[in-house]
Amino acid sequence: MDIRRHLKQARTRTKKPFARTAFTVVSALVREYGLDHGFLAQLRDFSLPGAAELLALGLVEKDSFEAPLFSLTGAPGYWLTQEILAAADNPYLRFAHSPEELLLSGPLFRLNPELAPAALARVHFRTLAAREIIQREISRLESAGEAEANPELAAAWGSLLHRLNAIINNKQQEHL
Amino acid sequence: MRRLWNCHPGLLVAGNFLYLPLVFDPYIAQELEANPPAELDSQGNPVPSSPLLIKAQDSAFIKTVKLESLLEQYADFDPVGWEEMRRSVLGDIPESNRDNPSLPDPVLAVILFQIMPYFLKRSRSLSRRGLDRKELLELIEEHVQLPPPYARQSGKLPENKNLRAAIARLADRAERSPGPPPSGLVPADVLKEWFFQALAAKISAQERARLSQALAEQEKWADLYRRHSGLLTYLVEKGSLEVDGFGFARGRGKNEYRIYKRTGVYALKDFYGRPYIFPDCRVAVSTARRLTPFVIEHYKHPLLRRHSSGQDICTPKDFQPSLTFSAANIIKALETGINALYYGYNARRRNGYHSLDRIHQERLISFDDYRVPPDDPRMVSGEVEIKNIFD
Repeated sequence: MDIRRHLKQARTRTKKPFARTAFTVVSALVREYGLDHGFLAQLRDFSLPGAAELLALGLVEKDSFEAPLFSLTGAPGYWLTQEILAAADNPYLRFAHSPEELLLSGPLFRLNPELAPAALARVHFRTLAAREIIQREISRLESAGEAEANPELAAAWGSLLHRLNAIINNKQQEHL
Repeated sequence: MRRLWNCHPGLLVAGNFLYLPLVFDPYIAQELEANPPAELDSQGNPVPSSPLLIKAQDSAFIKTVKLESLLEQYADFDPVGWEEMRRSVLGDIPESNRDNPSLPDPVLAVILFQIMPYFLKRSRSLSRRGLDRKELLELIEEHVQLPPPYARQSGKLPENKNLRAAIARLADRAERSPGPPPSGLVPADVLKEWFFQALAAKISAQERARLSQALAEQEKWADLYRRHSGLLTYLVEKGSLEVDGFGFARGRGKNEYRIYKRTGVYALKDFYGRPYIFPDCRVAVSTARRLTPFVIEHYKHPLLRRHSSGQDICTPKDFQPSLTFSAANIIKALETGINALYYGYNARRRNGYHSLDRIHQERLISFDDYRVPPDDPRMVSGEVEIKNIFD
């Protein structure tokens, strides 16, 4: 290939913005919060609570945490990070800002594997998980025909979903 | 350094090299799998010797610096820690013994024996060698009328006993070297203890060498000081002296001096080549402030802002007045000041705050009273020289 064509191709190629790897984020969280094997056990046994339990914990802002661009860690931290990555194993890990979000990342990915990166980066996983659970609950009510039998419950879920969607959309737009 | 001593589970020493726990990321871990680290044998030595990576207690360690280099260069990468250590090693050694043991006033010693010989050159040879201490003290004695109590004073050197005791103490401490560093995987606090013991021994040896040199110097000149002790005591008490245009005078502070050199009478020419004879003045530097040259006398010159005393001389841009007192800095400042008065004014460019000859404009300072005819007898005889001739 001649050099002119090569240069043209190189210039037209879209550049990907730099993104931190899941290893970098998780090892930074391990160091920041002093996570240990107790946390790993908690991660392995974690099961997602219901929407009511999640909402009872309150809707919170995403923690202000910025992982370094690259992370170097000692041997114990490295192996723990690798075990957490293996246990959680989902692409949402690199958007986690706290140990709680590390726990929620796996169930959230199973609920909806197609969440937008902007929402993951700006909205707390607890809020996103609550919305996904409520959406599923509404679909279940509609498919089972219970929505007509119990219109008050369907309306309550509907208004809650509406509120959560508004919060999530606002969060995504306020950074644009 | 502080983080180094907090390493867990410890530090590894092999072949005088310090090995630190290896930090990981996925790429390093991958590389480590491809190149497995060396192991330690039963005596704690790595096989093969001096490898890049060593495995001990399930941790990998990477080769960093030689412990000897760390000791050698410690003063450069932790100057504060080094100075603290040095102070603690010197401990109760009196301050006067540290810098110049020959005179009780260290600033005066520098002025007398380092700055003064530079300006009083007597050698007739081409090398223009400066005076040595003996010649210098004899020359001063010729110029100073010592009052009777000083003239009769019998020579007695400052006491050396303390200095000798300090040298002996430092030698003793230098001998208490902790020996070679521990080998193998050692707890960080054990290595820290060894390192600081070795550092203290090294500082002791250095300080001992310095003080021994000072003592040898003192003893070399002992006889000379004994013969001139009256003069030296007189100078320390009086704090001022002038010999052949170079002098100094003590200020208000104890170690504060004004060191000066006289310009002598000299001439400058103006744009039209007319000579102006300038009177003698003292160009001085004060040790109490930034080492900027200034004139002591009530004086006027194109490179001085006003017609008054104590004015800083306008110096070239490349001269950066130093804040540190040293013979070299003082000499440089005095020479820069004198050179500015002699050669700084360019008649063609009329540079400086004022010009010698601007007759059609109102001038703040007039130099007409300095102007002389070209056949002035002082210039004809060569007694006064025109300095700013650059052709």
